[in-house]
Amino acid sequence: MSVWDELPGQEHAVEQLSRAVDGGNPTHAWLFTGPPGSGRSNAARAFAAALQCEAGTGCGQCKACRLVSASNHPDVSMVTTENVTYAIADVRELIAKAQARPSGGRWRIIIMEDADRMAERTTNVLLKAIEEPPPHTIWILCAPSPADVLVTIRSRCRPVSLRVPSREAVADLLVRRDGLTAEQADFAARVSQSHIGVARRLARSEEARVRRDKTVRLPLRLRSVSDAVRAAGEIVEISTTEASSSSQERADAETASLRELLGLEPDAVVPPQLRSQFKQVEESAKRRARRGVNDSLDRSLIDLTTVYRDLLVIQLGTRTELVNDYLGEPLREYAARSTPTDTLGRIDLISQARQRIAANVTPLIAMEALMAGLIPRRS
Amino acid sequence: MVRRQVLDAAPDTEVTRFDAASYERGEFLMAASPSLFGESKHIEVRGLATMSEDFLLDALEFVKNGAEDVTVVMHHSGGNRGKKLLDALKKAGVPTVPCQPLKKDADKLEFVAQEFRHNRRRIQPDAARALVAAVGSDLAELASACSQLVQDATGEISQEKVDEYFGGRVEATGFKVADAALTGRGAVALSTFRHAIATGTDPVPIVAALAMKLRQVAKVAGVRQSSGQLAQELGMPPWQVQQAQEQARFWSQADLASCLELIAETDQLVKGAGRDPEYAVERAVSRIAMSARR
Repeated sequence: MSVWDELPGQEHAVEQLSRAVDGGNPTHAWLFTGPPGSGRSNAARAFAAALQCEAGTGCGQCKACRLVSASNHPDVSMVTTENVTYAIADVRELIAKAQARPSGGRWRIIIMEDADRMAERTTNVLLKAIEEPPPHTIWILCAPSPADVLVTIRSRCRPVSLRVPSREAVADLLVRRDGLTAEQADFAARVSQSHIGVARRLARSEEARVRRDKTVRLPLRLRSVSDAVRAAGEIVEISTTEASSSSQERADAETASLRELLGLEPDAVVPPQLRSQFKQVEESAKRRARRGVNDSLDRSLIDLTTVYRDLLVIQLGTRTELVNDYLGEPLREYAARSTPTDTLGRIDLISQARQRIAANVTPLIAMEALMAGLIPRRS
Repeated sequence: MVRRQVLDAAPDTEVTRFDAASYERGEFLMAASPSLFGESKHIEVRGLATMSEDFLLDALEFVKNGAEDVTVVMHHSGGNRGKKLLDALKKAGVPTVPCQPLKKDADKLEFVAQEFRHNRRRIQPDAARALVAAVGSDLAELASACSQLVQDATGEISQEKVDEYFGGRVEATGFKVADAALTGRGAVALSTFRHAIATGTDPVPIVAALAMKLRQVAKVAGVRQSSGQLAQELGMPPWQVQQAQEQARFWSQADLASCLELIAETDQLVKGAGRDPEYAVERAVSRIAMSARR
């Protein structure tokens, strides 16, 4: 057993990282890149554990390793944001933290997940801190690709690139770690296209499976503009209720604890001088909900892309495996009715919708435009 | 009405008007205190919904003490501001006249006709319609426009008269722009859009209005069901479904699809991807109007 066990299919990166650990004097800044689901933050965590490990190899057994794996190590900070972008104030705070000496371990390690969620202004604040940290501090940034961070950051970091693990490797991990049957694990790994996190959620939650199934069957039942607009409304509605209900629950809990902290009765009127604090809680809930809606729509759009990928595979006769193998027959019928050019055009439309949603276009409007574009043309 | 009653009963009544938002301490008392000649007083206060703290204090004092020969009319347009005063008034048994807002244009036309009838003057139907289109959004403004016309103009009020006084003022909202565009009235849609921009409407809500109207049309387009069934299924009010169905006659499936795409593109341009948001919306409005078959 070792901390590297949970990184399926990343032998190359594991070797590079273990060498750095063995050398005893690792570079002060690292940039972990890989497509979503390749396990960037897990790799970063494993690397941090190996660096802090009492045995010096990442044994996975000692106290330090276990603390890091549980995200509880005092000298390893996992930084992530629940909003669409990192706030500049949070990053400034982080820089101050980087100056402190480690309390028990050998290194102070700061892992920034989703470094691509930093605005340019925020990144610039980080530059100096990343370039010349104190000798005991190590920065680890994670991003989908090196192009997602500023070139000035990229040049200051040592790159580690992760690749998409194979379906077998992911299925194997799901069986080993989460105790799924081989069949479940294989299905989840296949439809999630080897995205470890998504595969696990699909394997565990019936609701997620139903929702994905509904999404991928959508193109098969679009007939008219009326269908398209209603389908768009449905998708956005589901995402919004999902995101806002979970964020509302948290906001309620936060409001309750703030009341307790300030010594207010649960039904007491909030005095005007304290209102701003409650407002802040509400606003951060709103921001989280927005990110939630965007993330969940993005997931649906990725699921949708797999359908058109499969159609293209069938149309071009490449004999590659289908992602949505269980929909084989209807997909083949659909494929016969359109051309590869159409299919490619529709994949472009999906990625355009993703860009639009990221660029703050009202999600419903973006989805309606997409769905209208996906209606099959009558021959 | 109250003013008229009071003036009929005692023609030498002194009439004072306030705006509660810019009220200063003591004014009320001064206006309400008995004068040397013993005439009665009539006080009208507007804008209680935005009253100042000073007014609240003075008015509470007045409600508690009261005064003889003084009638007070207060206008509160709703909301929580000054709830204390409203409660105190209610307790003192002051009569309340709830005024429902006039929403439909037909009601507003009726209102205009009534105003002119009271003053024994006549207004042509076209003129009344022009007047409502120009200043109809605020009823108080509409009333004052009526009284201005009654006092300043002579004879029957014609459309030319209204144009002379209120010409060039058109109230434009995103929805009006959208309605005109979706029914293929390009010229009207564009001029309404320009009016909306000129009177300070932001391009973003206009795009939202266009998107909403287009969505409603798209939902009912090509569906062979009665409006009642559709209303139930879509959770829309029946009149909205009927309006959408009427507008859907102008549209083909392909045009609807391309316009949905156009709206998404416009929304992106308005939200920072383009240099000139106004031009982006103008382009969308004209293209939508051209796509609608007349």
